[in-house]
Amino acid sequence: MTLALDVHALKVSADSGQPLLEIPRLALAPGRSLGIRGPSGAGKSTLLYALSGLLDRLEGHIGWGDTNLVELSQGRRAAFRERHVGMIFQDFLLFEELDALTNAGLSALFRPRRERAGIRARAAEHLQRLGIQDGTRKVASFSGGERQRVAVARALAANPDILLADEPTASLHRSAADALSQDLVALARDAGTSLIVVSHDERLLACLDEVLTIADGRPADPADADHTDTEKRTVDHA
Amino acid sequence: MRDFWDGLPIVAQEMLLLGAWLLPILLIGAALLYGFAATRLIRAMLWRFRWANLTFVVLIAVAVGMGSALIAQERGLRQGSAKAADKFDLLVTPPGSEMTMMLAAVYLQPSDVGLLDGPTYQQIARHERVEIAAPLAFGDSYRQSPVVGTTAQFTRHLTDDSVEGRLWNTTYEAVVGAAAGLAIGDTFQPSHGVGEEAGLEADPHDAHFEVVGRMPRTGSPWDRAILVPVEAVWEVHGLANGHAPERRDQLGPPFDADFFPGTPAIIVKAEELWANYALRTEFSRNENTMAFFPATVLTDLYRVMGDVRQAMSITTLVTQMLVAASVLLALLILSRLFARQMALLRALGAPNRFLMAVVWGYCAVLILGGTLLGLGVGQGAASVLSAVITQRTDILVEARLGWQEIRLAAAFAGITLALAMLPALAVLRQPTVTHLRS
Repeated sequence: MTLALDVHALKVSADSGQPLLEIPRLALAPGRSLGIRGPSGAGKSTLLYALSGLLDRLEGHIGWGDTNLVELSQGRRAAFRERHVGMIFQDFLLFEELDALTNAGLSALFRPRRERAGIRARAAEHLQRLGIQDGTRKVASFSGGERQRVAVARALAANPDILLADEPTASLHRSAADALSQDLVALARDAGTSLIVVSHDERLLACLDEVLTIADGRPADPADADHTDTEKRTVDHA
Repeated sequence: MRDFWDGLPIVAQEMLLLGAWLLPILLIGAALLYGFAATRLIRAMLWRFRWANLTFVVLIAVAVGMGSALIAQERGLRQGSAKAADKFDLLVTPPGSEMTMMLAAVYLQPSDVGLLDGPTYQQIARHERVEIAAPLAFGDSYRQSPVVGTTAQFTRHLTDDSVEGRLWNTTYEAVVGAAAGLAIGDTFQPSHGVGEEAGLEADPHDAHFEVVGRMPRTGSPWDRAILVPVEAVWEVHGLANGHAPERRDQLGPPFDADFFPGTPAIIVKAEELWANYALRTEFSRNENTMAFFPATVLTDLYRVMGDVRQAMSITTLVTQMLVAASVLLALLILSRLFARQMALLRALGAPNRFLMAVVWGYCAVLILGGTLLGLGVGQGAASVLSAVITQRTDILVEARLGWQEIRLAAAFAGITLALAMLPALAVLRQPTVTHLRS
């Protein structure tokens, strides 16, 4: 199953009620990739976490297929993430005490017994494809690039329809960042997974289908939105 | 229902009570952990904070251990002191404090007591239902051992007729307790006074005794005692020896009332158990005597101690709860350290029940580990305390952890594990995105 993203009239506020982000309209076809860029503090990550259903103070509509995340309770949003969303973070967030395979297959620990073997098998497969040969090694001994590969394998192991990544290359050196960027985009494309990446890394953004620029908590002027690749279509935003 | 309960064997009752304390833990555990494979994460968290975790386990173990050791010790002391008084059915003494007389006669604690005269002794000894009427004579010692004058008949009763060697045949022969530090064939010279009174400067009596017999260990202060014919004690103090001059070499009863110097206590054994009650009534009527069962005095004492015991149990439980509360508070604080991992799990879509299962399971390992280790610590501490008390009082105290301690530990674990839901719930209240981005 693939899910199209359809956001309109989205408003995200801080606990104090202060507006953080406003997105009048944002759409992404299933299986496409979208980069979100902008200066620090512009609201990029806020948008990403809103799209994952992890934020509370939401108004408007965040549609993934027929599901409007804004209307769901925290518990049902978690269930939605469990079924449909994989996430990647800047500093990997791995369990240092566990081996690569267990980290990559982490969601098997809370999924129904009948699904566990499948998740672990996919985790092992993605680790292999990402060049992690020895899944039994503790991740504490891994380099930054290897850790992020384990995190990518973890995000993909549950076969998500949507992959959300927050600055996935920011903690890596250049060559590792480039290699990871290519692998991430290729894996998402092969799996037919929608990929949304928040990044400052122009080389990563250049690999993606579409790019949205956020400034001061809202989409920047379309004319400024895509200056890295003139052939690339900017996201439809009103 | 009551009849059904009363009809159950004690072990079954104890198991059911234990189960009642443990059932809530099992239900909470099953409700949280069912359907998840949380063990790997719990192990990971235990390993990540291993030193802090070890400290928690040790803290809990010490709290549980000290509490259970104290309670086991109190019970051991009660059983030991009761066992030490086993052979003393009925005591007849001059009127006064039953407790003082019991401590002097049964536990050989030195004290100033009055004397019963010859006619009184005669009256008791000649009673048709009395099998043994043994006078006791205290006041002398050799090194740390009290020298007690009595009769061969009572010595046989005290040892169930199993003296190694033989009983005395002459006035200056002695039978020693198993812990008196003398062997058969040794000789000794007793001094006046017992305990601190009998210092090194004390003048020894001009009498030499030879050890001819040794008593088996009885687990009572009599293990340290040296038993000699009562006539010998009277004689070394320059008193008549209980017999008329023409029978001056006689040892043991019958004594002659006119030549009886007096005794602070007479140990009486009746021919039949029931007769003890009749004898007690009879000898209590006399204004010169007081008769009592040491067992009854002990029971009264234990009844008073029973309240202390109850207070001790509650204090122990409260202390353990305070330790548990401190540990839970520390766990609440510690749970902030793994807030990022919990936030990650939420981001991956883990349900709330899974997060609670991981945190509660982690607390459960610490609390159950600490409690089990605590029972081991308790047994060890009880053994050490018993050895110290036995050494100091000569009352054989054997403290072993029993159902009471196990039940107390189960109550502690049950309540604490129910409270461990608090850190588990607290994790759910932590802001996810803040921790993911920190």
